[in-house]
Amino acid sequence: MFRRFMVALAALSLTACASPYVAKPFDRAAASVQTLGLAGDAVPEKAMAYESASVGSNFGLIGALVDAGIQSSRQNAVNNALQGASFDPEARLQARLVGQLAAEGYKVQPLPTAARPKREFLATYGSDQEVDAYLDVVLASYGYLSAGAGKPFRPTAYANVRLVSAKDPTKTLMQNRIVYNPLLAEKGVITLTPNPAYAFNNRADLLADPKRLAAGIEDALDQVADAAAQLVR
Amino acid sequence: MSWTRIPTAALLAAGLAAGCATPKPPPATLSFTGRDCAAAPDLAKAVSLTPPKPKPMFVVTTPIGAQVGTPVAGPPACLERAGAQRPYALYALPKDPAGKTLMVGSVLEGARIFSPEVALLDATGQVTRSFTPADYFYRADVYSVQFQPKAGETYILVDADPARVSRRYDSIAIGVNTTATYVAGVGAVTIRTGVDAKQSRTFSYDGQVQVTVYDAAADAKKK
Repeated sequence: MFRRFMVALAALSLTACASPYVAKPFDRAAASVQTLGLAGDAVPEKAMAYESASVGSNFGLIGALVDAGIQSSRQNAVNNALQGASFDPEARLQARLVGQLAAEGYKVQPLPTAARPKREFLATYGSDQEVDAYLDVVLASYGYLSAGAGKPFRPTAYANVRLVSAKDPTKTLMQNRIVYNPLLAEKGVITLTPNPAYAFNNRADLLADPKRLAAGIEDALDQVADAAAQLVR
Repeated sequence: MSWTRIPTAALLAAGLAAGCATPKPPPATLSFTGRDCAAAPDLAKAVSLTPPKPKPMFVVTTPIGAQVGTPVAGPPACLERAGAQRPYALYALPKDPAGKTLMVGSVLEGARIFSPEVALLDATGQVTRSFTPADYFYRADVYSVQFQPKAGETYILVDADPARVSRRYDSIAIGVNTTATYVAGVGAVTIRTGVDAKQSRTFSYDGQVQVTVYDAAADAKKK
């Protein structure tokens, strides 16, 4: 998870130097979409619990090695705590998306989806579904993020959203990126500010109340789902 | 980059002094009274969104509201719409709009955000497309809508939406500061520190409108 997060962060920095991020807005009147196939496996298996400018990261190679151990230990502890809270982020996100899309007048059919090899859009969506378009919401990462030592851990989520025509799967009808609590706010990307109700001072605070820990992420996922549904309204 | 050997106390004092010297960001303007407000925008004064040469990204930022009125230039351009006087900015869409995506909205300034209402107009100035509040998103530092121009659309009108003026947008922004310093016996050291800042902004009649034109063809050519 840590590696994925750092890759996403590095990609973000690189894109700042190369091509700008360009979203594709949806034109509902022109698209004639009533039934959506909703792709699965949207959420990574494990949540992150990452402190960016940690103390260890300021002390060279040895510091970085120690820091990697601390980050990994914290992530494992957070994921163990979430398991104890009956936390199911995939089901939460999918249910919220289905509800919000139905409120926008869409009929939604979940698509059978195998585990994604990478946290990227699916290459194909299958042709036996009777839908007008495929909605693919995929999270590169989610969990908790602290800006650095002494700063609170807040929920975070990094999602890519795409709507593809079922008639012509080469045609992208909408594409966007939604980031909840970004460390770097990339130009043109939808940014959602974190809910101040879910701030945890340190590792002990994160682990003190697993239900609240899970609720913070669920709240973030709800907001990401709402924004995704808003993009196809 | 230069390395410095300055005592921590001196750095702290300098930082505090700099903090004191930083001017306060302009506050939100919660009312607007125009002079000789027109019923329709002046199409002749539209700001061009066609860059001198094709670019993957072309950004135009325009101050708007009472702040731009001067004794020489006269009062700010304003419209009388839906029973309210509103400052406005008008843009002419790129000459070749095919393959272009536009992001239009207001810059998130230190304490305020211009309350935008974006509409597309045809060549005669008639509204052809408008956006609902749900179409607006915070995209990094711009509160905006995003769209691709359609046939028959010629201008973008951005005027003030009175309904949103005075509403607050509270947010939390996180980031990392990197500073380089010299530590005796160790040498040059780069220190990364986290930033976690609460911010509060108010929607305003004054502010800055920003239009970003993304050109897929120019981007592909660059690659």
